[in-house]
Amino acid sequence: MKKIIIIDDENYVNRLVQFNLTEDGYEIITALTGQDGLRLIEEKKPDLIILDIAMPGVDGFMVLERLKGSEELRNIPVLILTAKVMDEVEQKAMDMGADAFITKPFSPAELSKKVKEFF
Amino acid sequence: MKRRILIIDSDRSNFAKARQLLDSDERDLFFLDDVNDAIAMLRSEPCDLVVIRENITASNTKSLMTFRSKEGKSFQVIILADHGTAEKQEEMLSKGAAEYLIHSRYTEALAHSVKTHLEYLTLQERSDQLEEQLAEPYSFANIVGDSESMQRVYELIRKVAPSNANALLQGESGTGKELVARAIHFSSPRKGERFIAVNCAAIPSELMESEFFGHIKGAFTGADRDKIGLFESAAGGTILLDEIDEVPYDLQSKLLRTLQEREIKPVGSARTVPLDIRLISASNRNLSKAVEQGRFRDDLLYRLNTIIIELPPLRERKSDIPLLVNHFTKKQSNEIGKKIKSVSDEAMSLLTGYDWPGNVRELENAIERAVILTDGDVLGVEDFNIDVASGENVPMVPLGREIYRMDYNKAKKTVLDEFAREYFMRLLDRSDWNISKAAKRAGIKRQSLHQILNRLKLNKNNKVKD
Repeated sequence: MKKIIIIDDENYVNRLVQFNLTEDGYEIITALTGQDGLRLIEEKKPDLIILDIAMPGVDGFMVLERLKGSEELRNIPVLILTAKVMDEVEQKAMDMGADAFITKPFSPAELSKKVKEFF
Repeated sequence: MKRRILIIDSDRSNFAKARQLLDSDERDLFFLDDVNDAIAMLRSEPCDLVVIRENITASNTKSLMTFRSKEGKSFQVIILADHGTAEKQEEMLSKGAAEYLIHSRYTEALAHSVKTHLEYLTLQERSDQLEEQLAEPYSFANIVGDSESMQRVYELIRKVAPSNANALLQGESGTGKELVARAIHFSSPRKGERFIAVNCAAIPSELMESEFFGHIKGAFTGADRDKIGLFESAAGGTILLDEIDEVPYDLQSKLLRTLQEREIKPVGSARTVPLDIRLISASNRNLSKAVEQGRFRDDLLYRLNTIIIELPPLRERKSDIPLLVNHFTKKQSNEIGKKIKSVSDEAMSLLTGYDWPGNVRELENAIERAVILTDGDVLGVEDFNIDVASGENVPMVPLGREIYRMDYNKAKKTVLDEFAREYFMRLLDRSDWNISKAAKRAGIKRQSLHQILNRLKLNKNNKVKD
């Protein structure tokens, strides 16, 4: 079973994504902070990371930076799920190595489709 | 756009069943098992409908409904209550729930209820759109023309709109009196209320009192139930009495009393109904002359003409014609989905040179006809039936006042016949009067075209058979 970690400081987003993707047959692990997310990524070695950008403390960009700086983790694909829709945010995330982008409010069907593209 | 539906149920094992019941291509379903998460979501994301399964203490539904009313959210709420009672149902409905289903879970009843409320939402949105569309064309900015005479009209509308003063609109037929009346209404504090336009000439004089003021059951033969009149229907708003000179003399005194006392008395009733209304009247005749001739009461005229707005005939503001032509061309093109780029210089010059006795209405009809019939994307002289030599506009469809005096079936037949006559004359001209070619182009049988030509008495030589 493919393992996905979702990192978002809004609990409801984690829950929504968790239910939808569990239904699709994935194992979902959630984290409410960037720091917890990084710890879980190192520990669980997921197949995909769904990452919010705007989070207090360690934000999505910092998580991306750490991931891409690690030889062991840099190849794990990252799907950005964020309310920030400014072009420069998307561009920066892509430049830092993110693989795809979905903006909130998201459609569960769109998310499922996007996730499937990674497997 | 997909409808967003959130399902809240503390028992996650119900989600699969809910999905099976409610999922469709037109919907995005979201599932949460905690009302606080749901409130967090609803605070930052749009949602059309929430289905919530009430817990035993009903605390989750109360939190949701309190959040909804405090934050002024408009999502609909359907509550599934395993342990619901009629009292709880009443309480939740009074707090704004759309539905409270007692002893109900994820069954067809819920599917039906969700479908009904989403359809209602669609209707509501459509109604809001229509209201916006209705208000928009009559907003002040949508009267077309920047000539000096129209600037004076705008100035008067601006001054009169915020007040409650009665206004009298005077101008020839087709100068846009109803448009100005609507502009006054939609620029006034009454804009949220109804605007009712009444053409007095279209109401038989013996029925006018009852149409204006309503009647009670039994007031006269055929009055089998109480009926609210036009004045009462427009309460709080504005009523336009167009062609007010058509109001019979004896009814004029009742109209005057209504304006003085600010109350109406339905026919046959002893009671009076207080009335808050703004009256705008309009006429294409000189009412002072009607007073001199003894056909119109002078005291009523003085009551009506607090503000007089004179609408200039189009021939006196020809500088506005290009603006109007472009406006109507764009409007008609959008309505029928044709891409008309412009009007040729020659055609514009023809239209500007013509006197337009039917005023803006006649110009609008001429452009409507040209946009429908043209084959190109630029309207040219040949698209208008204005005879340059005689300066006469030959209307294809008699959309003048007379059409509205006919009964519906006769009016429809007249308009359709005129259209068919024009359509086939042009088609046959383009086909060099080759009947087979013309029939093919029209997509009908040759015999059918012959029958139509015979019925309309059309032939090649004199175009109209005697």
